Amino acid sequence: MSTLVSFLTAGVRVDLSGADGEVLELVRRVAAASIVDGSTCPPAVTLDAHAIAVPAAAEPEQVAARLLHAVHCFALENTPTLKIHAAVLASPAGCVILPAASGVGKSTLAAAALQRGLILLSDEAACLTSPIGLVVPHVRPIKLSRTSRRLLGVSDESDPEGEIALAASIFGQAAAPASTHRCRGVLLLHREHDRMAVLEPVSKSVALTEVLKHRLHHDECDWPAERAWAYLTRFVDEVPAAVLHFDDPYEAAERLSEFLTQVNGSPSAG
Amino acid sequence: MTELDLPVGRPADSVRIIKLGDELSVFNAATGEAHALNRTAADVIALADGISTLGQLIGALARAYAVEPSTIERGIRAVVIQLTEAGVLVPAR
Repeated sequence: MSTLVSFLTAGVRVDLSGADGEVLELVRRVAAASIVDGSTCPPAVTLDAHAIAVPAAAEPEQVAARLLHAVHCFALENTPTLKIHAAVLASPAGCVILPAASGVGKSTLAAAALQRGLILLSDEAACLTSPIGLVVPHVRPIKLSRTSRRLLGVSDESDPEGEIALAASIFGQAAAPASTHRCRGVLLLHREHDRMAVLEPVSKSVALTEVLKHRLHHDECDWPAERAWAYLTRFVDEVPAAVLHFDDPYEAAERLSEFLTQVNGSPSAG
Repeated sequence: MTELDLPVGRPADSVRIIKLGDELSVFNAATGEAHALNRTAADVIALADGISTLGQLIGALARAYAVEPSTIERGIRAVVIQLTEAGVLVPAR
């Protein structure tokens, strides 16, 4: 077993070399699909050592999930892309970004969409790069509440309360870490109790306002405001946008599939 | 002197206005925020020269829309307040 274990997310490779075997085994348990074992990749970023507090009675899987979450956060903060707080889902011909605040249901919707055959690029961050509209995956384990886990059919009687991170591969296909995808549209998520899932067209200026509102800022690799605005202005001008009103994530996944079919009009992305 | 006699202000130096589709969008580089402008907001920004008062602006728009000033005063006031709070309109130099 190689001692150089790394994974690639959003174009940034994080090396866990030097981590002892027990830690590596814990990480593998949770996110085997995220780990690239090899030595032929671009130069690595070494994760700065910092303490990760773990409850004394924590299960190994919970420890691994917390460790992996910290590593994913570090990778995201250090990727030189324009980051939007959004889920990103794709079909082979292109992807759609779904900006939304925390708690709207991005992760549950992403998991439901995977079960319905779409491809996951991220349940958390759209990483946009050049040329305009190109997206790099940021695949991480999907954190779900017990309510969501039951809704998605991945819970049993022994399932504990609270959020648990589950590998995306449990639900369906995740994008390859080094792949790139052409973004074909923007869907603004609007969760409403008991609302049937429906798509409502929205103007480009409203889409720009909302996408900018959900921009993620990190001290490292942050884009200047005007550069981000110039990029996103061209981006929203080139792709259609709509609001997805929904309550049930499976209904929303159906509308999302329909939107992807409508906006995808060219052969597979790179 | 009433509120209607006070200058509305002018667009901040950090503001950029562009046409997106059929609408206008205003971006404030100082805050990193963008705002979709309806027709009224776009007209207010176009007339906000740092000299014109709120009353003059309401009068000009009432003539342009062919309505009585009293019918649009409340809406114009709200737009000016929103744009000022967003940092899009600032006091004249």
